[in-house]
Amino acid sequence: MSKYQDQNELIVVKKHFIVLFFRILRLLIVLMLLFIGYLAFQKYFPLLISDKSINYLIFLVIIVILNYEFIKLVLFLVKYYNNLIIITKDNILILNMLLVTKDDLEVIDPYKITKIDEFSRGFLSNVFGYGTLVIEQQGESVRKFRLTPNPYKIIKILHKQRQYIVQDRRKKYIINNEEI
Amino acid sequence: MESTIIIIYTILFIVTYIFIVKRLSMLNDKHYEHIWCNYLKKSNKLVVKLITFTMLVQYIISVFIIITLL
Repeated sequence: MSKYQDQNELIVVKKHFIVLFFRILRLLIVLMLLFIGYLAFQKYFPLLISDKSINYLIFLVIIVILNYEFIKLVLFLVKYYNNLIIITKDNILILNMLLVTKDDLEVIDPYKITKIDEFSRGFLSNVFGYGTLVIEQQGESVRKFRLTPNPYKIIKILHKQRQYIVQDRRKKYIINNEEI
Repeated sequence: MESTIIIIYTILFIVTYIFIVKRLSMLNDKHYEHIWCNYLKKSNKLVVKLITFTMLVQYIISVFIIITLL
């Protein structure tokens, strides 16, 4: 489970590692296709390859696609390690950051959560243990967290946290009533 | 021709790398100030290492292609 617990009782959940695996696989497939494509072009169109302008064009296409895919992987690494659900004692923080275009931090009050669901559909999601976590809040839109690792454990943690928060608020409420 | 392209590519590559790493550290510090989560510091170090490795591979393959195709 991509979960981390530190001294401040924070639980950090990031997306399942399979997302990263698929991204790397995609890069490897693109590299392989470029290599095979160039070899095939060399074999079937040897006269075209000998032409300098066409050779430059092929070079340009290969270098642009290659660098695009690598930069996409780098940006994906940033996204993967900075797209987090952080469960603290009192709140649920949702950090969603991309390098230049996005920097969101959302704070959810567990007291306002009305429903927590989990969907794990498909062969891969059941084998590798990931699913969609759905959090419904009072009067607000439904939040979906796709590709969350071990959503059952997270639901358990969220329920515990909610119980603690509810008890804490009740205590405060009773004390306030007595004071009045 | 080859050497000029390699030099231009290297300069662009270094600028991109520095921009990504600096921006990432800056955003990470900002988040750490708000959340106080040690995980962010640890993950940032790991991300920087992974990015360095990925970009190094990118550079080596690109230079190899420049030398081979041109």
